Amino acid sequence: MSTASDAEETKSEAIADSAVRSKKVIMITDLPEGSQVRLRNGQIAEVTANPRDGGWLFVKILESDADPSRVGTDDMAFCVDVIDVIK
Amino acid sequence: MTALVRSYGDRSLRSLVDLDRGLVSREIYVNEDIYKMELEQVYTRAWLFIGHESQVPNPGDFVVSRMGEEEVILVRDRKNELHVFLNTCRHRGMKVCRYDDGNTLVFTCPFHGWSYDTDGRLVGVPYYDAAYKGDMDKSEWGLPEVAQMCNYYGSVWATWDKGAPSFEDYLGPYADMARRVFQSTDGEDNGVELFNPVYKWRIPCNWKFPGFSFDGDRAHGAMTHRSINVAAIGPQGDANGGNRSPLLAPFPYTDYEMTVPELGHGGHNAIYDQPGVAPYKDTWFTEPGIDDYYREQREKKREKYKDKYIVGETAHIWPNVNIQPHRILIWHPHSAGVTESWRAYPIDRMAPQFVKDAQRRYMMRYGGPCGLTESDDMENWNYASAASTGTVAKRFPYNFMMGAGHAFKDEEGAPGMTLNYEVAEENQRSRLRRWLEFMEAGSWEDIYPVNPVSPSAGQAVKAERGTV
Amino acid sequence: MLTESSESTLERLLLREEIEQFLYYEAELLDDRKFDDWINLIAEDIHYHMPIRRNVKFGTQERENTSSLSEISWFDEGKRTLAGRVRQINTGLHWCEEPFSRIRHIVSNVRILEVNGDEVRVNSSFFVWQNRLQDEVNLFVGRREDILRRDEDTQWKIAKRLILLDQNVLLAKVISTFF
Repeated sequence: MSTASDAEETKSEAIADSAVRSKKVIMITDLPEGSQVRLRNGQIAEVTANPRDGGWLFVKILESDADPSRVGTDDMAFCVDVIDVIK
Repeated sequence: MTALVRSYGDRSLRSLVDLDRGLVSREIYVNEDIYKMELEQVYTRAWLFIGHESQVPNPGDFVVSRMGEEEVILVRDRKNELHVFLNTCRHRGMKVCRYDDGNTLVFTCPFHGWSYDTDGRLVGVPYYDAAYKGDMDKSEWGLPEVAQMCNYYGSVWATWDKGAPSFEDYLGPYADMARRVFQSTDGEDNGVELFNPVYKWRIPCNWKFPGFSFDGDRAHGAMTHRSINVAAIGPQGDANGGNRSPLLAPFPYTDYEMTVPELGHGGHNAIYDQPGVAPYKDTWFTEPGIDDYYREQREKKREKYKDKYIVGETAHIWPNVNIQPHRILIWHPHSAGVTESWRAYPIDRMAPQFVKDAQRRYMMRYGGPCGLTESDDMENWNYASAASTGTVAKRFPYNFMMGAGHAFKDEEGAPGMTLNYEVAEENQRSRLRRWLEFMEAGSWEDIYPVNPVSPSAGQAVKAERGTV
Repeated sequence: MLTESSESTLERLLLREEIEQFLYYEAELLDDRKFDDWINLIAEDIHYHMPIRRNVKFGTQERENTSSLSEISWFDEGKRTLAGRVRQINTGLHWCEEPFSRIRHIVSNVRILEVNGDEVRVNSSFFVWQNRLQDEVNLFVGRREDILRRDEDTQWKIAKRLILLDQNVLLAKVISTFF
């Protein structure tokens, strides 16, 4: 059953989502090592470890058109910055 | 703060603790303001027991612990180094770990997602590039780490005060005894591991009831534990009248209350009249094979220590920990009237499983909140605390007179220690003395190094063995 | 659910009634402090186990309850120690139960899981109220997983009891009752 406060909650969540321009929620918790993901900044990254905390992935940058020097470096990717799972 | 330290109401703290006469105001056990001062004056300064390295054997392993009222995380980082962190996110304070133990790559805050490596570094901040735009230096926002940590033969201790002396100096004459507590029964250093998990339970009493009386209150046993022998929980079962403790071989020694008043540590310890370790006496009549193991272990230890005089094997480490070969007792302050009691059980790391099982079951039926012996302690601490809060009750000081003025030194038998008859309140007076010093001190400089204080007799006398 | 296809509905209901009545009777013995009668319901080979409940990460719930094989539990014992507890209470000098607390065992959610020869595997929930001296109150809520064994003398005996107490840090200073 939906209530007024639920609606408020949904609305504020939507605003929060739009603030970070999230298109869809990707549950990263179960992504295994070796998965490849597309990040919001355009980078393609491979999952090197998954802490399974719902928030973060340890990744290695595979492609980075905007800043090619990042290719091959280790980084952490936050959940809302993961916009697609490539494989 | 200074004004509060110097006086409470119209009375100074010092006036509440008259150790020469053995009179101590109930106020220091029940007063909320004094309790809050303790958290600052005692618990942010003293070395506190955190846990044991065996609880976190692998990189990424962690277990939560406590320092005073506050939760900390003992963690082994990915480079195999131990750390102790306050369990709070630097962003908005949320606990970054809400599990009792486990293995992890990072501690991620479930509030906004700040994420910390197992070495405490802040490694993940959501929207870091887009929103902070490089204005925040992540290296300044790691998990709060203790000022000093010490891995003492496998046991882990820490303090929030960088001015505190080293842990070994803090132990003083108890350093050797503390080392031996963490040896296996064959006398090998780093020889034990802890059973998991530790007991944690709440006792409605001020932390000083158990903290200051345990291993300093042999007088309580005859009455508090009147009912225990009928249960025959000892390893020998019904033999020896159902005594709860293992049987011991006769070995010439004298038991004392033994303490270092200038440091606050103390225990019930024995001075042996000959070097070496007592032979093993069979006691595990209820379970086959256990005696064989412990006898063999004891023989190895006897060989190692055959020329060495031993003093005791239990120690109360000021302020709130008691360490013994098979149990570690910690009394965390939880509020003025509540103690969160923790209990950990060491066991020979290399012991066969059936020995570990027998020892574990003995410890479970002996102690803790469900143990047959200690359940009666809880009742007494609970209602002693409750009956001390009254306006009229507080007009009547506690009596700490037992053995006051009869302490003595035996520099040959127990160097650095102050001794008293085996049933005295010398250790409790020592802890109260150190308590007062901590409560009045502006910093560690005021309380360390210490000058040896004379025992409460005012003048040390040479003991004559066995006459006490 | 019963797995034996030959078991008639009536037999199933009668068994449930019998088991429930036995559990209520047991609870009443404890509430009435008839500990000698209670210990007589305990099989000689009982394993009486109350594990500690850990806070563990999702996906590792198999570690939630401490193991009787290698870890510390609140209770992990047999009849010898249970009988020792009864003897201790009966001295009248066991201070945490002298004077007696007022204790009430509410047993509910009784469910028979399996009948295996003369043994029945049965789960039940408990809500235990303890009022001590004037105003000390402790609540213990949880589930028991029992194996009851038919017995000529007492109708049933408790052959195995796993007690899942729904607490992490024990909020009572002691546990001075049985479950």
